[in-house]
Amino acid sequence: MKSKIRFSSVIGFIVLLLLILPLMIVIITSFGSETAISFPIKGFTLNWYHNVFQQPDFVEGMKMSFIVAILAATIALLIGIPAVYALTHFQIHHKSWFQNIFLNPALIPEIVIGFALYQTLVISFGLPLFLSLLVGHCLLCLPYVIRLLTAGMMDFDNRIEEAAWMVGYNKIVTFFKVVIPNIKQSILAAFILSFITSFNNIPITLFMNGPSLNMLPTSILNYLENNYDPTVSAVSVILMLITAALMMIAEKYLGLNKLT
Amino acid sequence: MAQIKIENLTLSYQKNKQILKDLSLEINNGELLSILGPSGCGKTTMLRLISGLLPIQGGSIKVAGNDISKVPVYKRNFGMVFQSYALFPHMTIFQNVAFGLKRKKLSKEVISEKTLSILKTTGLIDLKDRMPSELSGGQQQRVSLARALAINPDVLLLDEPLSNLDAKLRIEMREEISRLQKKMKMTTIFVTHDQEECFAISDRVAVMNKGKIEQLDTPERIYQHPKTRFVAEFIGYDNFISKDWATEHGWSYNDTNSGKYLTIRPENIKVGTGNNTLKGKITARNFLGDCYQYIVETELGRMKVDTDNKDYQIGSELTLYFDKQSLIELENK
Repeated sequence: MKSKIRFSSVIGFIVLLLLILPLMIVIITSFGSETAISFPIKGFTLNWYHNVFQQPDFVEGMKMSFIVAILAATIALLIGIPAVYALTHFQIHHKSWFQNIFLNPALIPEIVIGFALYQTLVISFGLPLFLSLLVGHCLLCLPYVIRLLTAGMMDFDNRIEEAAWMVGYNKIVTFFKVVIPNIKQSILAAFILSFITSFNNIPITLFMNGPSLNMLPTSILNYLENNYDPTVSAVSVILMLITAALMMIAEKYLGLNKLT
Repeated sequence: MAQIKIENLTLSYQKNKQILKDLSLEINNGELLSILGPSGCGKTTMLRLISGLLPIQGGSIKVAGNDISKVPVYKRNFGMVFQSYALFPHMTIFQNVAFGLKRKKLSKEVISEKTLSILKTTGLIDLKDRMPSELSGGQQQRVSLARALAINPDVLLLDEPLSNLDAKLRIEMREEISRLQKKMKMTTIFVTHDQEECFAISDRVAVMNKGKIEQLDTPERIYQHPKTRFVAEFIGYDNFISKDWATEHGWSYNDTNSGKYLTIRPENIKVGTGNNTLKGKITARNFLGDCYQYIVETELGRMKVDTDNKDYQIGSELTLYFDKQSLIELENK
């Protein structure tokens, strides 16, 4: 029994190491003073972080990624909340079919979604890149929104809503005054997870990228093609920090176990 | 506060699953009427139809003469207390109770004054700034009652409000409901599956079975003269004697209707000889607190007999005596 515990903890430690080590190396190299990424580092500098903000691609990309992530998460919520309300409250024919449709983007490879959207929205319908990108990111976020909100809505006793109707509030006012406040943690968690999903996405973003539309993850890829200096490490660390900070907020409000 | 008239209420899910069958019922102004029945008899469905939470398929509901069948739930001005309390988790007790008043066009001072007054009558004033999750089940149900009463409803609807509470709180709470109901002369419909709690506080009781009202009467009448076998069984009559058999054996009983069965409460069966007797073998003895209950196997099946005598032995023979006055005639069913 004892050796079993030791064995599994050794395995766990190795897995953790394999996950953490590359990230640790990226973090360390971002402070290296050489002009090429190298490990171990010979000197310490913060110049590369400074350099990140000197690159218009990165600054613009970060701005754009923020805007797209916030819009995509918001739109996904605006679609997802009524959809989840309907799915959990009404008797709907082919309910499971609808649920599958909403969760589908999570099952199809993102690169396929990206290509399909590019073909239809950009090439066939001639939609602007930005709009097409937004549609793609919304599709990406929707499954998370649906799943998280469904869990939140299930925890909420329908009788509470009925109690509000009984004391004189119509269904719409009740929805905003009683239902929303009681699922706001799920809404916040869904927003954060959607934001992260959109912010870090590459497969879909790659197709809808252009001179006029610069996103951070694709900017990093582009930068890497021409340069191999620790600026990339630095920008990666910034990306990691943003993601980690958001995950910590989500964890604090909901608990990570509910997110997966 | 108003009189309610329910006429020919029908409800069915799908084609053949009828939940309510042509149900009519009148509730007098200021009366507390209970709907008593086992789970699945349609009593909660009926309450939900009255409240407006379920749309009416057939029949009508009139309150003080006005047909409200098509009035949406939020315009009916009915108070409702749910089994699961259903307090608004994100509001304080004060806000919970004041929520309904805020909908009415009243000044802040009036809302606050009315809320405080109802909190005082329900004994909740010290808890007004707490959140629902900080309260015990009994306290939460009190808040739920206060919230329902705060809007000064025309009708108070109680959906098994005591079922989630423990025994002692249940009695306390039902007395509280009764006190407030009488004080406010509130027309009240109380849905429950517990005959004791419903007999204790009701003016009249409607016993429901399979979507129909089997008997509508005062608690005393129902207890002393159940009409059908279902009602009798539901309120604790366990002994049934077929009239045919009784006639064959020369029993004397009141024979006024075409019903098939006689029934008798366990405590009314005596041990003795003479006319109206039946022999049986004791198969079990249970101590019930105030008496002993013997299970006696007879040619008519099992009889339950309550007596103070603890000396009858399991396996021994007993001759049971059925007094004519204690034998109750059931109607044909």
